[in-house]
Amino acid sequence: MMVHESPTLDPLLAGLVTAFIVTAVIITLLLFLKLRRRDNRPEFRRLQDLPMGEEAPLVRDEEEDAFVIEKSSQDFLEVRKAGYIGIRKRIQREKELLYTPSNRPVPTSIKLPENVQPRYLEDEGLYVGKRPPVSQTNKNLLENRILKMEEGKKWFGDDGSVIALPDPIKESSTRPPLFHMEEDLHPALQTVYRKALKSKDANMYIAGTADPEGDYQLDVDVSGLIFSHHPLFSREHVLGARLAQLYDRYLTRQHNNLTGHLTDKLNGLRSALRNMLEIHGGQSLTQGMQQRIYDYSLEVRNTRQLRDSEQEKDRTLLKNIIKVWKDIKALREFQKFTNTPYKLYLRKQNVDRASDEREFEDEILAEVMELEAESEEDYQRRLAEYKKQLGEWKLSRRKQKAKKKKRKKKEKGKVQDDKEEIKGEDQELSESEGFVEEDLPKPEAPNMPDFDSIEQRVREKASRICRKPGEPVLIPELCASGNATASELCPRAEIARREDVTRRHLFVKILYNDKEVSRTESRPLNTDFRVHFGQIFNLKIINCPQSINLQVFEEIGSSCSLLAQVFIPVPEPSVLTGSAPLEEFEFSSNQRVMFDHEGVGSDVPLSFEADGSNNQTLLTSGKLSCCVSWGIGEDDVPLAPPVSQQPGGVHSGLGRLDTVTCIGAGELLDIKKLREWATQSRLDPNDPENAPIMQLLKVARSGEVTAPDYFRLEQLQEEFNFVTDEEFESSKRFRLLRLRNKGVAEFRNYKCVPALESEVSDKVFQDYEKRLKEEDIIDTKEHLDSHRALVAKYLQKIRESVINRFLLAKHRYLLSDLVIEEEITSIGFLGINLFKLAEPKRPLKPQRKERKKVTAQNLSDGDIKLLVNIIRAYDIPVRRPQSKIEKILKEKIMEWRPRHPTRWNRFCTTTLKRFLPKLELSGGRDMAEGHRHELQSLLGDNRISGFPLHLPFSEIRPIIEAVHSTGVHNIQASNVEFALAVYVHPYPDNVLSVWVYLASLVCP
Amino acid sequence: MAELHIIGHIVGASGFPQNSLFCKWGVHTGGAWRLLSGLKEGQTQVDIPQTGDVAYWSHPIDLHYATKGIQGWPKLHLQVWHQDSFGRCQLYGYGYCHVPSSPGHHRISCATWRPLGSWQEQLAQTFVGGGPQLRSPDLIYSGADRYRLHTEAMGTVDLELGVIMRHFDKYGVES
Repeated sequence: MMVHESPTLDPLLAGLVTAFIVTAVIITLLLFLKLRRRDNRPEFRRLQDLPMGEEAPLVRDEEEDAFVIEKSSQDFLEVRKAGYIGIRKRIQREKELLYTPSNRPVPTSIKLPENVQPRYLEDEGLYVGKRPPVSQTNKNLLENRILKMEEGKKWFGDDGSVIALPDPIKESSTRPPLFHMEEDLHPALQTVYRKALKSKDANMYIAGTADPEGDYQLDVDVSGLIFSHHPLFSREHVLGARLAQLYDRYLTRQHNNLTGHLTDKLNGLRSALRNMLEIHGGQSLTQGMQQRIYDYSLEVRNTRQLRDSEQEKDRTLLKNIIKVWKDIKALREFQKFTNTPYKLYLRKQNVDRASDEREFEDEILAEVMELEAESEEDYQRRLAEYKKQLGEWKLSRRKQKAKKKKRKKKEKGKVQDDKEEIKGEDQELSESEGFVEEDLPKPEAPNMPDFDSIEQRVREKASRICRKPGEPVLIPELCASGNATASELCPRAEIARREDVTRRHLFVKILYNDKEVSRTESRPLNTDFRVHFGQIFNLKIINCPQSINLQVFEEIGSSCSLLAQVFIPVPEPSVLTGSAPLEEFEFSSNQRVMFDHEGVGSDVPLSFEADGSNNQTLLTSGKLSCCVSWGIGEDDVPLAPPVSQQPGGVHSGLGRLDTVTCIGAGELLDIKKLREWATQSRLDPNDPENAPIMQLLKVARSGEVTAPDYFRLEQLQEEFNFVTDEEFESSKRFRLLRLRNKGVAEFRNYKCVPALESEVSDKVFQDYEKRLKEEDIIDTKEHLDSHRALVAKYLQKIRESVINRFLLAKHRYLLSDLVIEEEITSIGFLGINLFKLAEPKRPLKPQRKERKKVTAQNLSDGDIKLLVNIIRAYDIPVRRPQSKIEKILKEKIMEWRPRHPTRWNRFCTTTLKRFLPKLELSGGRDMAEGHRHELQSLLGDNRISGFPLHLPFSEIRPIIEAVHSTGVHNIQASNVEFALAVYVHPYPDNVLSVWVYLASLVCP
Repeated sequence: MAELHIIGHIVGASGFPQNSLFCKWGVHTGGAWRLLSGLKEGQTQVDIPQTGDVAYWSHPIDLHYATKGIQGWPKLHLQVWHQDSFGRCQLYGYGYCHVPSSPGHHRISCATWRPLGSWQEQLAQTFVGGGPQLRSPDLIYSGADRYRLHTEAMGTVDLELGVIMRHFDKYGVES
C-alpha cells in the first residue's frame, strides 16, 4: 500500500532556509544596485549638470572627481590571496627547528649496551606477563626518540624492548554478577529500581524516608450495602427493617451483656460491703473505714441505678420486638401476601420457679434495705443540716434581740411600745417556730410510712423492668427463612413495585481527593434491598490523601442519580490490608420520592395506624460496608506512609490531614492524657466495653509503647552523659529555644533568648503554662452555656491550627513565590484594551474581575484589598429628602390651619421650584428681587408675599419651626392660596443645604 | 548541657555525569541530641549551570543543637538527584559526612555513590533513566555491612560548615 506522506518540515530548518533565501535576495539586490550604479554613472553625473535656474554650478566638471565616493574603497584597500607556503618548502624550513623521529624499527644492538646479547626472560621460564598492546609504529617512534635522549638506554630492558609493566587491565570483569545474589541479600542493602519520575509537591523533603515518590497504595474494599430504608420499600419492608434493626440491637446488647455485668458487679459490691460491716461489726469504725463504707454504698447506688436503667432498656427492647413482629403478622394477614422472609421465634426457657422467686425476693429485700439505709442517711444529713441552720438562726435572733434592747434603752420609749415590741417579738418567735415546724421532718413520723412505700416502689419498678418470678425467659430469634409470596398472587400495585425493584441497579463511585478514580460494577438491587459488590480497588497514590468519598448511585434504565455519599476517614498508617475489618458506614439521602404503587417512597409521611395517626417520615438510608486500608507490597512491605515525622518538623506527613482530625487524633493518641482520664473517671476494668482502653493502658504502663523504635548502642549512653535527663529537660533556656522554634504563640516572636541559663526567669513560662492548664478546663463563666464554651474552645483550637498551618505554609514555596515573571503583553492584549475603551465606565451589572493573586508569603501591608461588588439592593436610602420635606411641610401648614381650607397653587409652586436652584448657586444675592418681579408678572394681579428660607439640613424639626415662625399660615383671608417649594442641594460629606420657598397668594 | 551550632552551606556538586542537579539533605543525630532551632532537613533548588559542570546551590544550613553526650554526633546525609530535560528526577548519589567535631570553619567534600543494578537495569538506566535506589536510605549513615552492595562512584558535594561549640569544656571535652 502506498502512503502519501507529506514531509513535515522542521520549523528550525524552515527558518534557516527562509533566512538564507532572504539573505541571498538581499545580497543579489545590493550587487545589482551596485552594478547598476556603475552603469548609471554617466547618467548620474548628468543630473548634476542640469541647469538649476540662475544658480551657477558649485563645482566644475574637472574638479568633480575629487568628491566621488566610490574611489575610496579601491584606493585604500587591497585584496590579496591567502598566503601559502608550499609543503616542501615548509618541511625544509621546519627541519631546522623540529626533530621528527623515524618510524623505522631500531636494531636491538643499538638499544643495548655494546657487546651485550639480548636476554629473553620468558625463554628462561620466568613469567613476564603480557605487555600492554602498543602499535608497532608508535613503538618505533618512541624508541627512536628515547635513543636520542641522554641516557636513553636506561629505558630499555634486557630484551631490548622498552620496559613495561604487564597489562593492568583484566580481561573479564572482577565484579561478581548480581543476579544470583538477590534472594539472600540483607534487606537494608536491597535496592529497588525506580523509574525516573516527575517529582510531586507532596513529599518534598523526605531525605530520610524511603520513597520520594511515595509508593503508597490504598486498598478500598467495597463489600456491599444494605438499605435500612428505600423508597421502594413496601410497608412490610419498613416493619421488617425495623424488626431487623431492633433484633440487631438486641444481639449487640446480648453480646455486651451489660445487665449481667452490672448485676455481678452489684452483687460483688454488696457482699464486699456486707463483709466489711460484719468484720468490723461490733467495733467502732475508723475514719478511713467510714469513708470506705460510704464510698462503697455510693458505688452500690450508682451501679444499681445503672443496672436498673439497662434492665429497663432490655425489657423495652424485647417488648418492642414483639410488638413489631405482631404488626408484621397483622399486616401480612391484611394484605394477604408476604414480602419479607422474616420470621421471629420466641424461645421459652423455663426456670425453676422456687429458686427464681427466692432470688427475686432477695433482690427486692436487698434493694429495699439499701434504699432504707439511704433514706435514713439522707434524713440524718438533713437533720444535721437543719440543726446547724437552727443554731445559726437562733444566734442571729439573739443578737437582734440584744440590739433592740439597747435601742429601747436609748429611746426610753413608752411601756406600750415595749409591750408592742414584746408582742412583736412573740409573734416573730412563733413565726420562727412555725417555720421550724415546717422545715423539721419529725424523726419517726415521715420515716415509718416511707419504708412501706419504698417496698411498694421497688416492687412496682421490678414488675416494670424485669420479668416476673417464675415466668419463662423469652429469647427472640429472627430468621429469614420464610418465603415471599410469588408475584402472580400479589395485587397489581405490589407487582408494579416488584418490577420497579428489578429495574434498579446500583453502583458506587470511588472518589479520591474529590476525583473519581474508580467505580464498581453496576449490580441489581435485590428484593431484600441488599447489594453485594465485593470489589477491591487498589489505589496507587502520589498525592497526600485528603478525602476518600464513596458515592452511591442508583441507575434506572440509562439514567442514574446520586443517592448518597459516604466519606470514609483516611486510615492510620498502621491499618493494613488484611488486618482491617470491614466497617459499616451509614448514609442517608433527603430526596423526596413518591410512587403510585406499593412502594412507600422517601420523605413521605407514612402511617401504620388505621386512622392515619402517628405519622412518620422515612428517609432513604442504609449502611455501606467497606474498608479502606493501606496496601501491602509484594514482599510484605506496607505501602503506607511513615507513621509520623519528627514532631515540630516543617513538613506534616499524613498525620495532620485536616484541622478536625488533627485535633481529634492529637487528643486520642496522647496516652498520658488518656491514662489520666482513666484514673479520674474510675473506669471499671471488668467492663467489657473498656477492655481495649484497659489493654492500651496496660501496654502504656509497661512501657512498650514509649520504647524507642530504633535499636542503638545507647545502653552505654548513660555512663557518658554529661547530665541526667531530668536536668536536660529542665533547662529553661533550651525549653525557651525549642518552644520558639516550634512557633508556640507566646514565644513566636521572642527575639532575644538569654545566653545564660540563669538569666532566663521563670516568669517567661507563666503565661504558657497557664494556657496549657486551661486548655482542658472549659470556662463556663464567660459564656452563656457549656455548649458555647465548648464551641469557643474549639474555635480557639482551629485558630491555633490555622496559624500553625500558615507558619508552615510560609516555608513552602511555589515557583511563583520565588520567581516573579511578568506576563508579556501581546497584540491580542492590546486589542482587548482597545475594546475596553468602548465599555461604559460604570457597567450596570458589574462582573467579577480576576485579580492578581498574591501568595501568603509575599503578603505585605497594602496587599489585601477587599472588593465588594454590589449587584442589587433595595430600600436604599437615597439622598432625596427633597420630596419628603415638602410633603411634611405642606401637611404641617394644613395642620396649622385647621379651620380654613388650604389651597396650593401648583403653577406658582413649579415656578418657585425652578427658581430655588438658582438661589443656591448665586448664594441668595440679588436674585430674589429680580425674581419677584418675574413672579409678579407671571401671576398677574395676585398679591404675592413670600420669601425663601435657607437652612442646613440635619433634621426636620428646625425646618418646621422656621416655617412656623414665618407665620404665613396665619393668613385668614378666604381667597388665599399657598405655594411651597423645597430644594435640597447636596454637598460632600453629607452636608445638605435646604431651601424652602414659601409664598402666599391672595386673589383679588 | 553542651550546645553545638552548625552554620554553613551546601556549596554545590561536581563530577557528576550530568549537571542539572539538586540535593536532598538531612542531619541525623543520636538520642542524646535535641534540636533547639533550625531545620534539620531540606532540599536545594535544581541548578543548571550555563558553563562548567559544577552545580552551585549555596543552600544555607543553620542548626542549633543541645546535647547531653557526644554519642551520636550529628551526621549530614545527602542525596543528589538529577532532573532531566523532561522534568523527571532520578537518583545520582548517596553520601554522608560527619559534622566536624572541632570548632571553626571547615570545607568538606563529601563523596557520593549510587547502587549499581543488574545489567538489565543498567541498560534500562542508560536509555530511559531511573535507577536502583536503596530500599532503606538509613543505610547511608548506618554502619551495616555493605560488602554485598555494588555501587559506582559519583561526584562530590562540597560543603562549608562553621562549627561553634559551647560548654563542651565543662564536661571534659576539649576542643
